Amino acid sequence: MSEIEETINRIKTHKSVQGIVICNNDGQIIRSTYGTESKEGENIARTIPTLAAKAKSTVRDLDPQNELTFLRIKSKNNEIMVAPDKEFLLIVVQGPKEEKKEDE
Amino acid sequence: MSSNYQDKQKLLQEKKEKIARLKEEQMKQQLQIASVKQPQQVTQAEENGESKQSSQQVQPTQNQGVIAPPQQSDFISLYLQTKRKKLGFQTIEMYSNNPAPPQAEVITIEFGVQCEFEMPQQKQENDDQVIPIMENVRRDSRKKKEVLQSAEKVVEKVEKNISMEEINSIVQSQSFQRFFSRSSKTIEKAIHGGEVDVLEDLMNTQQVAQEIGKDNLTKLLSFSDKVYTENRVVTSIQWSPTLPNTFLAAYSQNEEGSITDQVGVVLLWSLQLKSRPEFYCFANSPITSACFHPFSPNVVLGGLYNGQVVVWDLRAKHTPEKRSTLNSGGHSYPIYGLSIVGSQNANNLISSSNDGRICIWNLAQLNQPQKIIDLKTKNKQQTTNPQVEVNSTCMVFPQGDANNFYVGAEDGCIYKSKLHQNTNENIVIPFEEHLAPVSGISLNSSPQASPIISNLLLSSSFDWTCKLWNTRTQSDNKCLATFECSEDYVYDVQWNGQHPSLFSTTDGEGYVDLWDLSYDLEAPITRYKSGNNSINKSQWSKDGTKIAIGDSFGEIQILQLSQKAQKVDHERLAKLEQWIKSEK
Repeated sequence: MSEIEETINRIKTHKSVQGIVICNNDGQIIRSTYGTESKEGENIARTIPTLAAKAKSTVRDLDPQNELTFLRIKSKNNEIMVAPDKEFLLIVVQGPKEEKKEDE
Repeated sequence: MSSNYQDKQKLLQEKKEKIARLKEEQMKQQLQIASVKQPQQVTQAEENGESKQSSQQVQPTQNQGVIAPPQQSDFISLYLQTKRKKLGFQTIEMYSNNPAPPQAEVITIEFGVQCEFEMPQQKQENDDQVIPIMENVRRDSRKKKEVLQSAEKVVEKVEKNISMEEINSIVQSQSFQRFFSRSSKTIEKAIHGGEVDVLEDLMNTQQVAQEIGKDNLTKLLSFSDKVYTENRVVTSIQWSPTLPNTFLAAYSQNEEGSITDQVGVVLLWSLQLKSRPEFYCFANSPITSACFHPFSPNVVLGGLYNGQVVVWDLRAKHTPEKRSTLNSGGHSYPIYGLSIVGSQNANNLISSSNDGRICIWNLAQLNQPQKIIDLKTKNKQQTTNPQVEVNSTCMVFPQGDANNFYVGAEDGCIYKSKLHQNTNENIVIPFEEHLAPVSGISLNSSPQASPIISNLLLSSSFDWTCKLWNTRTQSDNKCLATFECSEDYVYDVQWNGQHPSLFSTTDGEGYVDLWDLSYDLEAPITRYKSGNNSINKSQWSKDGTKIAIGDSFGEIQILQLSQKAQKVDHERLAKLEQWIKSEK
C-alpha cells in the first residue's frame, strides 16, 4: 500500500507533473492528487475513461490482435498521459515539455 | 336501403383490402429496416417498439417507404378521417409527410452505461387492432428521454455511493497492485523520456553528444537505490540478452543495515527508468553471482553465499521460485561462477563454488545436481594424484562451447578443464603466473575477431596486474603479455563484446582503464576515474558502446564509449595477430 503512495509521490514531485489521477473504467476516482476542492480531478476522471475506451476499441478494430498500451494527448497547455488497463487507468497530467535536463 | 347496405359492404371490403395492402407495405418496410441496422441504443429501441406495434406505424428515418395516400372517394376518406380523429389518430398521410420526430436527435448521446430499456417487452399484439400511432410515438420519445435521464442519474448515484472502504479494498487488491506497478513504470519512463517511445529501446536520444578526440569514456547514468543498494557491494552485473537496455545487478549484504533489510538482492535496472529498479528479486542469503537465462526472458538465476542456486521468475513474485536445497550434494560454499550452457532445447546450468566443486544442474530438477565435478590440482610438492582443491573465484565458458571452461583460482592459477571427460579423473591444465588470487577472467567473444584473437583469454588478479593468454598454445603456458598499470587490486577485466582488441580493467582505486591491444600493449588508451570507491564488477553491453561498473557501495555507473574508440583499425589488428602468432 505504501509503495503505491511512494510511487505516486515520486511521480508527483517530478518537475512539470501537475497532477495524477487513478480511476477505474467507470470514472470513479481511487487516488487523486488534485484534492476534492478543485474540479479538475473529477473532470479528468469523468472524461478520460471514455476517450481511452474509444481509443482501445479503435486499436482493436484496426487490428484484432492489437491492443492499446499507452495513450498520450499533447495539447497547447499540457500533456495528459494515460496508462490503461483492463479495469483501471493511471492518468498523469504534465506541463509543457521543458528543455532536457542533464543527467547527473 | 339495400343498396346502401351493399355500398357499405363494398366499403367495408375495400377498407379491408386497403388494410391488407398497408400491412404488406409495412412488412416490406420492416424488412428494409432490419437490413439497415444502426448500432445505436435508441434506434434499437425503436425497432423493438416497431416490431410490437401494429401495421400502421411508419418509420420516420426511412424516407423511401412513404405510403401513397390511398385512393379513395371522398366519402370513405372522410369516414376514415373522422373515425381516426375520434380515436386520436393521426392519418398516415399526415404522419408520413411530417419530418422525423426528435428520436433522431437523441441518438448521439453515448454513455457507456448500459441500462435496461424500460419499454415493456410485450408479445405481439393483435395485428388487426389499430393502435393510436401518435400517442405511441409520443410515449416512445418520452420514454426514451426518461430512460436516458435515468441513465445519467445512475452514473451519479454510483459515484456518490463509492466509499472510502471500497476504495481501500480496491487499492489492496492484487489486480490493482499489478496494474499500478506496470503502469507507473510506463508513465515514469514517459515522463523522463520526453519524445522517446516508451516501449521501445531508443537510446539515441540519451547519447551524450561527444566531440571526437575527447574522452573515450564519459559517464551517462548512475543507478542506486536508497533502500536496496546502500552499502552493498555489487557482486555481479549482466546485461539482458533479450531485453534491450536492461541489466541486472546482484548485491551483497548490507553490513551496516538493520536486521529487517533484505539479505540478498538482485535488481533489474532499465536505462530508461532512472528513478528506481524495474524489478526486485530477494533471497535469504547474500547473492554472489547472478545471470539471466538466455533462453527464457523472464527467468533470472542466482548463486548464493551459502551455496544455494535459486531461480526467480520475474512475472511472479520477488522471492525465488525454485531453489536447490542445502544438503542435496550440491554446493556448500559461495557460488562464484554461474552460467547456462547449451542450446535452447538442451541446456544446463553450471555452477562453480569456492571449494572447487562444479555442479551441472537441470533447471527442472533443482533437488539434486545432475553431475558433480570436484576440481583438484597438484600441490607443488606432489607428483602423483591431484589432491588439493581448486578454490575458484570465477568461471567462464567460451561462446558456443558447452564442454571446455576456464576457472580462475585463489592460488593465482587459471585452470582449464572439461565438463565431460573421457577418463574418470579430472584433468585440469593450469596457467600459472599470477602471484595472487585471480579476480576475473574473460574470453574474447567479439564476432569480428579472427580465430587467433578469439582464443585470447584475459585474467585480472590481486597482484595489481592483468595478463593475456593464448589458450591454443599449451606447451609452456606462458602468458603473452602482462598489463601493469594499476596500483591497487585489479578487480575485474572484460573484453568489449564488439571490438576485437578492446578491453577494460577496473581496480580498487576507482579507475577504469581502457586498453586497445592494437594500439599499445604497455599502456591503456584511457584511464577513467569513476570516484573513490573500488569497482568490483563491470560488464560491457551487448553492442559494446556502454559499460556498466558496480562499486563497493552499491552504486552502478553507466559509461559511454566514444565513437573514436569504437572504431576498429584493421591494419593494426592484423599486426597484432602477427605478433601473437610469432609469440608461440
